[in-house]
Amino acid sequence: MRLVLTVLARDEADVIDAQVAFHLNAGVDFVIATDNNSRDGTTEILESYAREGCLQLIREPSEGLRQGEWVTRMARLAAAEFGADWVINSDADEFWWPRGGSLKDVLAPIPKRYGVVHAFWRSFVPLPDDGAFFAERMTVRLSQRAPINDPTSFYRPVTKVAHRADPQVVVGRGNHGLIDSAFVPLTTWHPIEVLHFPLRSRAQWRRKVELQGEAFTKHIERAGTGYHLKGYSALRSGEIEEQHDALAIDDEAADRGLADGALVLDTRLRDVLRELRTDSATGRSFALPSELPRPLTLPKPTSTDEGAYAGEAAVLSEADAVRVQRRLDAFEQRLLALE
Amino acid sequence: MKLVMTLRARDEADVVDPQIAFHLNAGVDFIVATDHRSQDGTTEILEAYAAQGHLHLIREEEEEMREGEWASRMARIAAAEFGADWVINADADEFWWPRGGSLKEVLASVPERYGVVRALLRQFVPRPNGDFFAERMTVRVSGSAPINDPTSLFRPNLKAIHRGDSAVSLSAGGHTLLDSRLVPMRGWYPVEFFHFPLRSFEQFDRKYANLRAALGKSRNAYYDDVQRAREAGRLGEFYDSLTIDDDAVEQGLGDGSLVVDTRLRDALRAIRSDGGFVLDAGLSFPQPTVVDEAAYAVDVAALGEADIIRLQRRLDELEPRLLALEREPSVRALRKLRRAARTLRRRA
Repeated sequence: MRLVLTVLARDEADVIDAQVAFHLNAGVDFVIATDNNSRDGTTEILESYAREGCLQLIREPSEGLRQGEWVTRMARLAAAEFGADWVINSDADEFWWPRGGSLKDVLAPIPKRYGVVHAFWRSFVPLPDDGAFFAERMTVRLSQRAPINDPTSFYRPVTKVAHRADPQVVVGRGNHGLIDSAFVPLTTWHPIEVLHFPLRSRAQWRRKVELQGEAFTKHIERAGTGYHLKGYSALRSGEIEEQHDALAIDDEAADRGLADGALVLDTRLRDVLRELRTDSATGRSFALPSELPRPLTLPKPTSTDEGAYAGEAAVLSEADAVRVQRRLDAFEQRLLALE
Repeated sequence: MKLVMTLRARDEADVVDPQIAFHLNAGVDFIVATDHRSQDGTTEILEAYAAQGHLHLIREEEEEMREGEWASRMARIAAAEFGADWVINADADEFWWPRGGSLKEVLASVPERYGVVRALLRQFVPRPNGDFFAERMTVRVSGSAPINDPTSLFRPNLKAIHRGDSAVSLSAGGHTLLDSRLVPMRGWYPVEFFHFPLRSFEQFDRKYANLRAALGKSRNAYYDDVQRAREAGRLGEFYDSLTIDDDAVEQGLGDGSLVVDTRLRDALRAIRSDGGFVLDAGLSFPQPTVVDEAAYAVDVAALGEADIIRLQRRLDELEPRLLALEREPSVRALRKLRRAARTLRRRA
């Protein structure tokens, strides 16, 4: 089985090196990356992986964050030119964590009739920024016992898709689903977690809000979703620092969250990245699989872990029920208009 | 954006002054109030706010209480005469608490397609008599351990905040809009309303005497219990049984059925001055952290609004309406025409 990861990046130098290296060690055979006008060193990092022959780099100079289109192009390329059996559509701040062994180990046994796997998005909360590497600092993750349904929050329970390779595939914006696909999604089991680090430092948050805000106001027809708009309006009114600080978790809140179970300590990524660290002269800070004495194996969850995980994943269906309710409301309004 | 609060009050002098002052500080621009035969000084407090230009006062002298009708009238006036973009329909013993920023900021972030936002009820329990209610009453029923006893005053509930609409109709308790085209936001309740229904025996006694005169005998199971206690001359005992003393508080905190909540007390302290309240302090409400949001999500889930049974029931209601439309002669005629056109095309 051949597994290809696609990644779209713009100015993600603080995270992209670790991101690509992690996935190559976790079972990904090849990476297709789209670099959208990066100016912070992201391009050079991607080029160093391209030189090793494990990454195909596409440069996308246009503005407008046409994410769906660019990801679709990569996903099709993965199938048509790089012989992928499965494709993971990732963002630069996401680490796709297989629940057992490697990404290949969890995708291989998926029954033939299913073509789409929904990975469970797990957001790590922003902790005070002391300048250290993000994975060393950000070891606290949100554990929702009930869904946060606030349309302006980026902590809403969501899933991201991995799918069987298809040269005609269309990936929807945000990588949450495929459009008009014949693949049957496996919806009740989530063998992959996406460890997500959306907010890593003040500077990174400001840059992200700026890029997404500009794309939504200048280039995208549809209005931005809640949290983009909230951030962008804070940026324009000169309150982006305050907004960042309001999102960050101080020690008191972290202790309270850890005590009541809303937050959990999760050092899995930190520990793996420590294992992969190297000081090579390659421009990379992390080892490729060929540079390790033995391949990386991720720990298999115990049955206790699986039970807790099932409990946490239950919020996905609860959030879906709220989404169904909202669709029913819209449907009822249309009916009312006809009556 | 203009935010108007409507307010119905009858003999609520111990609470109505802080209620109005709090909301003017929390983002409310103007108040439309209905005073129902108050005799305890409430009228004078409302008149003072009206004299300062913050409030439009309507007087109802009839004994019978027509809750839904009055609330609807005030909500319509709020939209038609005072240019409300959003309307909060409050009672005198309710304090509407935005989760972050101010009431205006929270409502401004509601996506355009939604016209109704529901607020989550927070019931504060009666505490032994003493000084100002907000100083004493700092314990409320926990949202994650809801009371579903139908005779309890403390059951989980929601009330509607809606976009200004000069033809709006509200249900009696202001909990829902009747026959409205405004779409409710589901699953997200960015405003909590703190409810202080029982504050002292004197107030309790008068409240239910008034309600009995205004509404007649039966209303709901809890109300019936109160009236039976009155008839049996055991009203004092009944009130005592509702009151939560220090031991009961400790027990409730221990088993998770009660929580300490000093938010209103602290806010009222911040706007208090010389026995009155300042109106331009501009309270600012802390942005909840994700830890707070996660805990709140558990309270919200306890409402069970999104359970599958309710969704199925809604589908069951919608289906016959769709069917009725499909059976209408015009729809059937159109379908026949389409079929005929198809046949003709095929022949041509």
